[in-house]
Amino acid sequence: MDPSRNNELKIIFGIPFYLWYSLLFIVPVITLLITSLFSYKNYQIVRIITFDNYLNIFTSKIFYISLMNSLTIAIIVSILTTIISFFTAYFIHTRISEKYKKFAIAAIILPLLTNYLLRAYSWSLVLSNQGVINWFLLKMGLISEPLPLLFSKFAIILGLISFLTPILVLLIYLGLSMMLRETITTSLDLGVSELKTVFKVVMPQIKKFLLIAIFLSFIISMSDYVMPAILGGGNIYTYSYNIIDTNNINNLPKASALGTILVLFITIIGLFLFRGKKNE
Amino acid sequence: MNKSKHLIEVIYKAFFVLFFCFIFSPVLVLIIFSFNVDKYPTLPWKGFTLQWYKSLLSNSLIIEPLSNSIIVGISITLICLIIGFIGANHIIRLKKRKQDIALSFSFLPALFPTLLLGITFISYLSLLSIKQGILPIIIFQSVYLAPIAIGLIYYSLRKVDSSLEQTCYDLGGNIFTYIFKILIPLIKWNLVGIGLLIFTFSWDEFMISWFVSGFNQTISIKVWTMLKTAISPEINALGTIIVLFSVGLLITAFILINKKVKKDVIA
Repeated sequence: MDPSRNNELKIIFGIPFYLWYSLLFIVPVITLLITSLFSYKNYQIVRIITFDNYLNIFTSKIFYISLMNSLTIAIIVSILTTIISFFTAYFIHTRISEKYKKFAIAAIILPLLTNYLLRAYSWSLVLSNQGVINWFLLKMGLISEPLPLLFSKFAIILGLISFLTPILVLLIYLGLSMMLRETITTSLDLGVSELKTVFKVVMPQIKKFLLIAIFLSFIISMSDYVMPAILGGGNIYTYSYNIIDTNNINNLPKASALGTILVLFITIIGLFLFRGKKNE
Repeated sequence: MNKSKHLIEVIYKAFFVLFFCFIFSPVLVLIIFSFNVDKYPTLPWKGFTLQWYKSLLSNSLIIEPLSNSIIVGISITLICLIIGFIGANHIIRLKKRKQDIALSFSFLPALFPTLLLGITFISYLSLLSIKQGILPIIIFQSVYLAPIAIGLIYYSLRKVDSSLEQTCYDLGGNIFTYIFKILIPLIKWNLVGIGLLIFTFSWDEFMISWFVSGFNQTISIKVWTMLKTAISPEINALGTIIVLFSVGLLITAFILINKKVKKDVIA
């Protein structure tokens, strides 16, 4: 198409698009940063710049406790989820015939888009003292008292893994399907064992996708509130709990400061994971 | 050697089956319990009933969240389609390298943790002294959901023959004739499918709505308050309805995005 007309249209479409993007995303994020520098006194937000919130946060014990809780959950969840998702995606890629792949993918997308709260809640039906697992174990005579599965770190981790695996399977499957199909068969034909092929040939090729998978599951499990609230029952004081509790007493500036710290924390981890990736 | 290899294959298959049980079984348990006579969601099974559905449907407190969710869902679908269409039309006119960068940037809000988006939006509302309510839900859900529309509309625009636009201008048409007479008719089934997908997401979205809703409730917020107060079997019934509704919308959306479109656009 004639380039000057194309250029003109590019700008005409670009203006409303960037306006929407900056007014509703960039400016609010900056507002978060600014609000975190305000203070909260006598039930009112005082709009004077101060670093009190940050001093307050970094000297409070609860900040470190909540950060450690969320960090533990996020690390365990992101590693386990990525491993489970990789092997599931690899199974679909190598073991399922072309005809049925579509159905496998559809079956993975299906739970992904059912209500998040309900998925958390339905795990509580499975894990509670009178739930399915405990009922089964009691019936089998394997235990004499119900196991305290619900309202624990274990329950939160389980809930997050079940929420995140479908997303990551899709992501890693995308990576696998962009890889040359012959690489796996060639490697196997040369007599290399499949496990070795996976680690030495497949994983390096989809490294970028695996890193995105780890990072995505990390940030979601680090900041999630629903699973700790429904499956943790408030017993595990996560970072998200800290933010919500602070916000619930209307101390928006301090809640914003906690939010800003989390944004920076996630950004640093992202930069660390994807360091040097730009040159590739 | 062969035997151990066979065993590994069997274990791997078992893992795959277990994976599906793992992601599906909780929701199945929810659906099953919604038909249980017992007031508490416990085993053993006490018998089949539809009473929780009856009491749910006669519960007038469900009407307001339901209508709010529908208002939000329809508005957000239209807004996201418009922003998505404009954004995708902008991005597709950039040079190839810049297209990738613009796409990643436009996707950033969708990857931002929803808790952080929530806290970001209330500090924005507070600074602008805007009241919380239904309108802020609509505005701010669009930040989270429009990136999905942008990506998917961009993907369908890529399938449209790029020489059509020039041909349209050569025949005396302008940008409006191109958009309304050629482009939209070509990708209309795509747009309907994407719209349904956005509606499903909006219908299920909780965190952002919860932060900016004030005292208004959407269906997700209603579920949340039901979970946080006394748990009644009605929640299982409501959950089952919501899940089946989402699944129905979703299946329709995927059929429209994939099948119908390919024929129309490639032809």
